[in-house]
Amino acid sequence: MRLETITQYTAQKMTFSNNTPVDVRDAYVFLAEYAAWLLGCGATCIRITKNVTRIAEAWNLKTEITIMPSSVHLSVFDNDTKQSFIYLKRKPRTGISFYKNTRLSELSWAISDAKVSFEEARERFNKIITAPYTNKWLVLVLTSLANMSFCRLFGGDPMAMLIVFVATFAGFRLKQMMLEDGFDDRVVFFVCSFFSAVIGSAGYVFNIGTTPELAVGTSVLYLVPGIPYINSLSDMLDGHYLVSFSRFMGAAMLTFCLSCGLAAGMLLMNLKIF
Amino acid sequence: MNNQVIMWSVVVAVLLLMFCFRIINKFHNSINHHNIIEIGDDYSIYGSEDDVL
Repeated sequence: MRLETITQYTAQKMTFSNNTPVDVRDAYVFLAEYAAWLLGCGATCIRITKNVTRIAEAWNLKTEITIMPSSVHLSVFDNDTKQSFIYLKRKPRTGISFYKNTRLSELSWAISDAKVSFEEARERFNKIITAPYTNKWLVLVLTSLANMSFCRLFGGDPMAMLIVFVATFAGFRLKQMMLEDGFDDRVVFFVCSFFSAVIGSAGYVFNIGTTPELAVGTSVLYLVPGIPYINSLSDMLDGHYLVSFSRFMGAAMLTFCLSCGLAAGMLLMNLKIF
Repeated sequence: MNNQVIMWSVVVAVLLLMFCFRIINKFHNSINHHNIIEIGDDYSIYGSEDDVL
């Protein structure tokens, strides 16, 4: 690109609700980052497309978005310079977060309703992406209680529920520790399901309760990657087959590791359930 | 005591040991970090060695 073209492009400004001129390129970079963060924190492709389109329309920007499994491509065509640009942003390494997902969607509506200026939007965006995670001890206790409830739903007795609570508590804490230490997801899933299955087999080993098989079965349910499976289906229905397949394979791989850990635990404890 | 009970106890003991090591490691790191701040930049590299000695 020639220098004068760049200068001409750079000089292009747009005006938002508070009449502050903003460089168009900043807005496109913001959109690319916004889309990448939505992808990173577990939003479906249809949500990403809708939110980005909503913001782009509010700011009178013409853009096309392509969502890949690990990155977002934002194509921009400038009528004045007859140049096209592609802003490529890799998916950030962040866990699935409903909080960030919801807040980012709210931000798109706030921009669409012209409630926030570009600078305010960027400030809010930075605040959302740097928001701290939910307290890990609270998550640990709630996950254990939720898995215990699963045991009850499947007909487990109080002793089986107690065993599931302990198995989930130990397994999930181990998962948190291993993820903090940077272990591979697949290794984490295998190890955690193994330990949870062994602890869950306490009903068989010590003849506790009347439904020990339910305790073993439900002790690893907290590891099932439900959100990637649901997102995969949603993306498939929307026609984003590449992302859908990628998400499905990622989730299937984790489920496979989970199953291997469960099978290893059951083999070690010599359980003859089936 | 049958084999199942022994295996179960071994696995649970390994898990508990992992948790204990983690707590000890964190505690140890926090002490070292504290020393590094106190000693200052020039000697910070020797902070952990001093602690061990």
